[in-house]
Amino acid sequence: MISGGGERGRLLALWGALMALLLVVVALAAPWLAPYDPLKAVADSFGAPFAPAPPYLLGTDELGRDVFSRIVFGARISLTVALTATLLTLLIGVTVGVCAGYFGNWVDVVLMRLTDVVLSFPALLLAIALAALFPPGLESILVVIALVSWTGVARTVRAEVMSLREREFIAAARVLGVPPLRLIARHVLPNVLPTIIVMGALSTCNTVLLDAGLSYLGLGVPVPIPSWGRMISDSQMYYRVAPWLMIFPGLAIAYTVVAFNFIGYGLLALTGRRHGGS
Amino acid sequence: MVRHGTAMIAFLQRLGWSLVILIGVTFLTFVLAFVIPSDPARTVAGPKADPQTLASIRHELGLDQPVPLQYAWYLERLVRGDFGRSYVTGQSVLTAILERLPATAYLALTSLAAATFLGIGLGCCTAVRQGSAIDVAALLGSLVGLSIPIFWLGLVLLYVFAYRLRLLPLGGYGGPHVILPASALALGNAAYYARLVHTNLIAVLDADYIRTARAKGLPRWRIYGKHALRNALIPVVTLLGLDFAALMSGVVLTETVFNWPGLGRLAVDAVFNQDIPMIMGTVLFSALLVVVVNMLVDILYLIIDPRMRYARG
Repeated sequence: MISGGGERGRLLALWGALMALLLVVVALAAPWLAPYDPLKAVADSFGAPFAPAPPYLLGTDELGRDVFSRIVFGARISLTVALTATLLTLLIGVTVGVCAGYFGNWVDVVLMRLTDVVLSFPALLLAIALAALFPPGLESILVVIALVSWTGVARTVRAEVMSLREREFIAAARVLGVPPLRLIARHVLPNVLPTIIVMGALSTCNTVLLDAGLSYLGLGVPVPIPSWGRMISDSQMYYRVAPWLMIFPGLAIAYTVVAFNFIGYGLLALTGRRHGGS
Repeated sequence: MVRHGTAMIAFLQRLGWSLVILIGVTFLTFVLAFVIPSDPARTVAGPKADPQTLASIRHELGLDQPVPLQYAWYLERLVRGDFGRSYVTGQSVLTAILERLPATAYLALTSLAAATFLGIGLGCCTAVRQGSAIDVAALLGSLVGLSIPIFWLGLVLLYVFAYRLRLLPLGGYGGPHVILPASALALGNAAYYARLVHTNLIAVLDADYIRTARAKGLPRWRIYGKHALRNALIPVVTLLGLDFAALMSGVVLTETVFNWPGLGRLAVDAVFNQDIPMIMGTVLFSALLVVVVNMLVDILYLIIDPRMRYARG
């Protein structure tokens, strides 16, 4: 995707990593960073949210809660969902991709057609349908997101494994009679690891946006501390009188996705890889 | 003659795989609607259905029969255009979908046209000026454009252009009402296409036949317009097909923000009403749409790129 070579990729990835690190620090240090309790009304502003001004840095919401504190605490739930869902996505995607690429033949045909089938569903619509069938909760959202977003990973990993399979050291190991599972764990996986890391970063963008979209539609995680997507959805009614209620959580989401996009595309340019799949 | 034959085989192959995927799509929706729920009759009829209705539905849909037979009947109902009934309104799901389809097509196609136009324009500008500040700005801009949540962009556009500046209408359907939702939907795609055209064009500009064209002394605009761009656009066409599914996901969010009376709104409303037949119907319908669009794009691809006739034969 990115031309201009390694140097630019290195810079991009570095910036992304710094941005992501800052986010993780904010999430971990939320209790110390947030000036107020995110769940309690701190300003006497019922029905009339305060615009951003000291002492309320990013204003208060319709219930008088401090928006800055809520965004800082929201980083916890948003990051937890995004990273866990990405891990699940990678788990499914890598398993499918490695099996299809390594075993080939009918295994490949079946798994790739399955991938095509899942890819035919608009991710958000399939997620909506799954979310309607599953009981609401954190686990359901994680599984739903992973179930609709593993396809890109599977395709890319498959392509990588297929070309690896033809290499001499894999062929040699196979001839020596190394059992498939061990061969995959010892020789195939370590070699696709760079691809998995790139796909992990790019999948994170996807899961953050998907989680935000689901939260916006009211299908997100039902917890007391709302995720950023939920904050936008809750403030929708007030967007004319209190636009800051939706602007800042949206910026937080965009910041997160930008960070992981920088990492993903930066690494992609750095390693000179191109990613298949979506 | 030979060339013609391989093209035909490639065409039939694509058609065959599309058919397999089509069947896979129906099977997956069947599993979601009838195999996973503990009482499919209840999901079909709704939580308030009385025992008699449930019993008659079980019999009617053959839910007491073995699963493969149920699937066969499910397929047969789909072929007849029977996607089930909404248990909120009692309306046929397919009728409801077809009523909403024009609105979605209007929004999606407007935004697709805008995104393609913008993306190709930006991609060309940045590829020609490779390495300049514009190029770097475009790279960062496209990555940021890809990162903005569509629904948030929609709300911000509504706030700025409809509420503060009062340039465009707040909500509603038709005419100028399409501008804001289509823009919200187009931005991410435009950023993506710009990147893609950029990368492809740079690769193509390095190719031998472009050097030949330059050596022949052809004017720059002819080299870019006729030789380079045409080849750089071929991969974009396939992406238009692949991205159709992503476009539909964006449509769901945009329609919700702007209260646009399309398919996406239908699905979201169905979720709030727990109207499972309607949800499954819209999901199945949009997946079928994606498969058909992809098949058409594949065929188009065979027509515009002569190399494909040899490659896949």
